Amino acid sequence: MKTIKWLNPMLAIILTLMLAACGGNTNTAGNADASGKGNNSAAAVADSGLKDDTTPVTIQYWHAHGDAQIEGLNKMVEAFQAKYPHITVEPVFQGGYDDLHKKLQAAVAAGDVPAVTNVEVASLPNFADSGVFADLTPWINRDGVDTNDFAKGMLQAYAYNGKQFGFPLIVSTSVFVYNKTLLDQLGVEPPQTWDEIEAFNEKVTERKDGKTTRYAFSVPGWDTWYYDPWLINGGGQILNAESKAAVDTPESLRYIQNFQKWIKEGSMHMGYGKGASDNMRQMFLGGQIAMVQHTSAMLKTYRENASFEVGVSFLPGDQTRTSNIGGAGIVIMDGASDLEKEAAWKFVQFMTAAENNIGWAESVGYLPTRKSALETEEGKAYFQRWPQYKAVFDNFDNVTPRLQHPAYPEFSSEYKEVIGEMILNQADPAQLMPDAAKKMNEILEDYE
Amino acid sequence: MMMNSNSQSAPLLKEAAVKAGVSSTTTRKHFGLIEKAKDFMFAVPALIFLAVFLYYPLLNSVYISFTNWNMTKPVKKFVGADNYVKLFKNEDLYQSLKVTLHYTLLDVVLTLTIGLLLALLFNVFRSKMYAVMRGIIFMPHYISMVIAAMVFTWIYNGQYGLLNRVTELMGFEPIQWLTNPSTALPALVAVSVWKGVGFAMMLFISGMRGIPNEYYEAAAIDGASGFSRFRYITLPLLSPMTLFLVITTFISSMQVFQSIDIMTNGGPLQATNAIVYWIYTMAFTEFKTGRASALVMILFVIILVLTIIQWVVSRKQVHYEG
Amino acid sequence: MRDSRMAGEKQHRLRFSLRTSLGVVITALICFPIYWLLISSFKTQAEMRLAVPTLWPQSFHWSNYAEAFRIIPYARFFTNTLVMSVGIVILQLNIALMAAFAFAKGRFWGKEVLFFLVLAALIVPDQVTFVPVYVMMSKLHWLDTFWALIVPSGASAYGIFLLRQAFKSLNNDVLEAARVDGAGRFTMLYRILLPMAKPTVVTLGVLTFISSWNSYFWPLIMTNTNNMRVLSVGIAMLRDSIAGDEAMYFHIIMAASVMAIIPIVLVFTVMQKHIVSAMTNSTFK
Repeated sequence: MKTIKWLNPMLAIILTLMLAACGGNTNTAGNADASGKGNNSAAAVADSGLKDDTTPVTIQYWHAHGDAQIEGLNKMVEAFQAKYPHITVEPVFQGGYDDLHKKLQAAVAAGDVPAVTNVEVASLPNFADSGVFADLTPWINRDGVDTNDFAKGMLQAYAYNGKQFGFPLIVSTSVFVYNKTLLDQLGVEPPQTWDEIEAFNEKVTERKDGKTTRYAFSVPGWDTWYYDPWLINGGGQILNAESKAAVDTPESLRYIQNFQKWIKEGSMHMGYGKGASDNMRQMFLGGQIAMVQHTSAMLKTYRENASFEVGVSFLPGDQTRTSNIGGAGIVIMDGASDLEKEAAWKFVQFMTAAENNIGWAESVGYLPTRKSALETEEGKAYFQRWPQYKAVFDNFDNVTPRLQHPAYPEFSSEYKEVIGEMILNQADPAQLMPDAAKKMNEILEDYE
Repeated sequence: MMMNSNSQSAPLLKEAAVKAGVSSTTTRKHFGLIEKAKDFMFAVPALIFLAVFLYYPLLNSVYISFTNWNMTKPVKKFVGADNYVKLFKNEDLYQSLKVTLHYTLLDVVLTLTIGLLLALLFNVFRSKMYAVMRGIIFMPHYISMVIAAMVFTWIYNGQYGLLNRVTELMGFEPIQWLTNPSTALPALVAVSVWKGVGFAMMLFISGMRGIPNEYYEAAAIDGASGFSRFRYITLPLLSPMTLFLVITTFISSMQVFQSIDIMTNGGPLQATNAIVYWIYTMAFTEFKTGRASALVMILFVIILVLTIIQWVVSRKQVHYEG
Repeated sequence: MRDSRMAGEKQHRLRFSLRTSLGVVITALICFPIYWLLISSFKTQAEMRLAVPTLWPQSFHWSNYAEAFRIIPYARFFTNTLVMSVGIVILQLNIALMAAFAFAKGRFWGKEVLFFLVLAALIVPDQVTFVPVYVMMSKLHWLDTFWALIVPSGASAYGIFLLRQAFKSLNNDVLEAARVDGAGRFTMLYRILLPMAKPTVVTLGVLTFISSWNSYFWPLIMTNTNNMRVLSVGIAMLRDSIAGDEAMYFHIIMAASVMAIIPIVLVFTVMQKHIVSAMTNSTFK
């Protein structure tokens, strides 16, 4: 009975609070809207004389930096705070990109946003379209940031509709990671053009009783990011100039028909679905695949876990030779207050500055983004430690932004499914693709 | 489903119904307006909470379902029934419904059948050992789905997973359980069944304990076999419990989300793209909050209608028995 | 029990031991994933991948736990989970008790309709309501506080339904007697009905605690910092944090998972008897 005595008052308190909260609801809502928080244009903020203001301010930095990157991040934040003692940065891990984006959306819907955040490169158009991010241009002009020092494609990936919404922060691109020990033994070089692939397959593939025991190479089927460059390099387009689906044109189908042929003859491996990435990696490390296309961010993992020497080669080209940019950038939320935005800009600048670039890139395992940084002593030492990245930087200008379209996450799943049908059900992609294109166009109707 | 086969046990049931029956008739007189208001006040906290945290958001979703809002845009443009029209024209809707219903059917039937069998086996109260075993079987119920899904992801792992080790030992080819369109859905159902059977067992046992012993004694005197006792006494008298379990399991499996999010992401080839997961990706990956809200409404209506059908059908059954 | 009347003592014993063996096998089978989770958490990465899996770790590799502890602020998450779960149980039980009292024993206009509205709440998934609620919480400045974790879960249709059923099956005589003695409604509810429906209340409390302890989606959305995160979110974050390397770090994920379930398993093992007997005695009808 003792518990019961305090239950009633407890309940009464809870209810009172509840009612008070409900009553307060409208008031607070009104206040939040009228508080004048944020919503000054970036230009106004940049020119408002806040540059040298040292009012103490705390900004939240929402990020998706995994455990392996945390140490590097903490060092940067420490150095930043030493440089700007009036600014406190609170880094908050929000999970993977999906979770981070979800939380950002909710935060925007509620009008209560962090000052600065990561955004995955393919989702930038969606957020930017809604005016969620601040345009950095006025600050860039004010502080004379030399944007030409960024690798061109990397910078472009964070521009949308002519505005620079962010800077590349953790940049990756997909490359071929190969078993150098094995290829040297076989006396084969990784293919640099599509034409060389057939010969490569022939020499590297191993079969036993009609079953492949070692695949020549693997292209991931679980994410369009990996084969969009193949589609482009074959001379095709995802969308045509009229923004209609073009995935079913003969040029756009070249790569997939090649894939189909190579899969059939047992020289090419393609994984699909969740967990396929782990699977592919294990097969590579176990010697069942000689060369895998994967994100450059995984290079460190491969190097640490392989019992053989690991090499990196840029994707083979045909009509063109490109690979797409992946990873995330750093952006400022437009809904933050002026003071926060100014502090956020200083943080963005610091995180992407040339002098910090190599140290940052190496600590997180992503690519450097600044041309000037590569020329420094530090940069040269970096290449000595990571000779594999040379293949990437020899093609620095061939690393291009992926297709920027708000509907990309949705319509790309249509042609991804065709790939899935080919991998899982041995379907003929050329037959299925027109239907996928039709569906893509239906999706695109919403965006006209 | 399971309680449909008991029309011959009418007399027994009638008696049971009277016993278990609820005499809610109040003998109070002069029940004035003030008294009624006081009674009502006790329901008010719950109603306020539901109104604020459930019905208001739901109504808000109804409104959003007629707009093209994307959650990050300040403006919500009214688009009429466009979202609904587009959804009904989309074949993915029917695929997703098929997946959801398939999952639900498997989940409900397996959880209840296995739960009932377990209840029959473990309904022993004179041995402490049985109490311990019941406790262990109930354990999966209080392990979070996040963790259960991760453990099973590991067990299902194509290369190193335990399940494939076992299949290989038995001389079969390894199966990519979660990336194979025909095994992914059953793999998800297995997790849910694993988590749910202990709970179902407990409820069935509690139902069995509520059946007066005289019935069985009477049946034993009549020389009824073990099976017919089960068939004509246990099963019919468990029907309220069964109905409760059918409906709650049905509702929760129609909303399956967590395991999909962790184990399959709706794939492969939409084989596990159940409605709630689709709603979720539509809202967050595709930025179509309006369309997603319309889908919510469709799901809501479907669950509501199916639940009412189950309720009515089974109630008829119960009345028929009595 | 009933079988003993029909069968001879010896035959009966044989059947019973057969039944027990079957029970043991089934129990072991159902328990196996938990066992697998536990031993995996002590294995090294290499041992996780042996062609013939080991059913007992070659050696107990505690460093997996150290690693999990390093990534997750366990004490903080544990406290948060506990406060949230207890808060939800207290709030939900009280609200459900009151509502069940009103719906089972009260008389007022529109009772059936309102009760239907309560039940209809069962079919609304969290994924549907959280955006407006999130906005509401944000406007109240409740995000990232216990308020946002607890208050929105205040009313549970499930709980109201169960308690109402339990109350309805209770006789009215005692209530009438109390009324004659001049007892108020709170007294009737908390002093008379509550003790009478104790098994159901305990069961409901336990089930609510379990589902709050394990809830993931709501705490994920309603919290923004590590200060307020709960264990299930922490585990998922840990997984994200080493994402891309999932299969390589399963042993660490398993260690973190074990840490997350240990408290609840302990509580349940200690309270096993009460819970199981409450559950098998409560009225769910």
